Amino acid sequence: MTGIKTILVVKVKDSDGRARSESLAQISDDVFGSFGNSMTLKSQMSACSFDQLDIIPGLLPDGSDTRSEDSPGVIDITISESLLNDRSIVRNAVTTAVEDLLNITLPEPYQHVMYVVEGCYEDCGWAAYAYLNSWLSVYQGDYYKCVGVQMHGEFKRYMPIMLYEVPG
Amino acid sequence: MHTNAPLFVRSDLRFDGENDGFERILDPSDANGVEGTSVPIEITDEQREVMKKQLAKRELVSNVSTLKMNTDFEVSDVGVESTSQEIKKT
Repeated sequence: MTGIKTILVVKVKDSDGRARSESLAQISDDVFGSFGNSMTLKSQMSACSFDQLDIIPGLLPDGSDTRSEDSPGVIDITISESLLNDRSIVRNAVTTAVEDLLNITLPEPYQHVMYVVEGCYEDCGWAAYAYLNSWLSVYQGDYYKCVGVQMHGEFKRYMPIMLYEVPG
Repeated sequence: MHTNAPLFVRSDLRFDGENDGFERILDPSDANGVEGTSVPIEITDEQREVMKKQLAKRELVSNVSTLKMNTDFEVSDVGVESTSQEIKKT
């Protein structure tokens, strides 16, 4: 796995107003090191790949870095569902909201998208989950900023490609 | 409701270890036109073990394999449940 990989991070606010307290800029720093954080998903993916994999903040479809503040690769959205629902309902509401907001069909134009939700209230016990051989990972609480959890999410996505050729 | 759809493997990083789950990607026509939505597949423990073995042996590949379902299934906002399923590689 080499090259440049663009990631969009989505800070989620639910229908009851639940959202992480971190600013978009803080989240951008936590994931991409945009403002000096030296221990991030970006830095560790680079280290683990001997500088062959470059994680970069995904630009918005209009080419801009931000919507409301200086927060490369991070947007915030409000969903029509509560986090008190099953996680698949929450996740699908986020996908719908992002596609509506940006007028895109995910994952394009990104290689990967990370959803950050304030917490888990149904079917919990997970810090994060990711889809193998796909484009999405979901983080709850402050686990999005834990590099070990970030790496798990990314590694799981890439693992089928790293370990063996995908048939077809 | 489409009876043949891509299959996702979801990997949970849990406080008590890791756990794999299986989900089905919904066709946009089944999801109000939205691409990329998915719901869990409600299966028995025995079916789950079979799928995990297939995953380990690469007979099942996330986002490549498809799940073919017969007509005896139900779908809701939180999952798809069937009494008979067939997994195939495409």
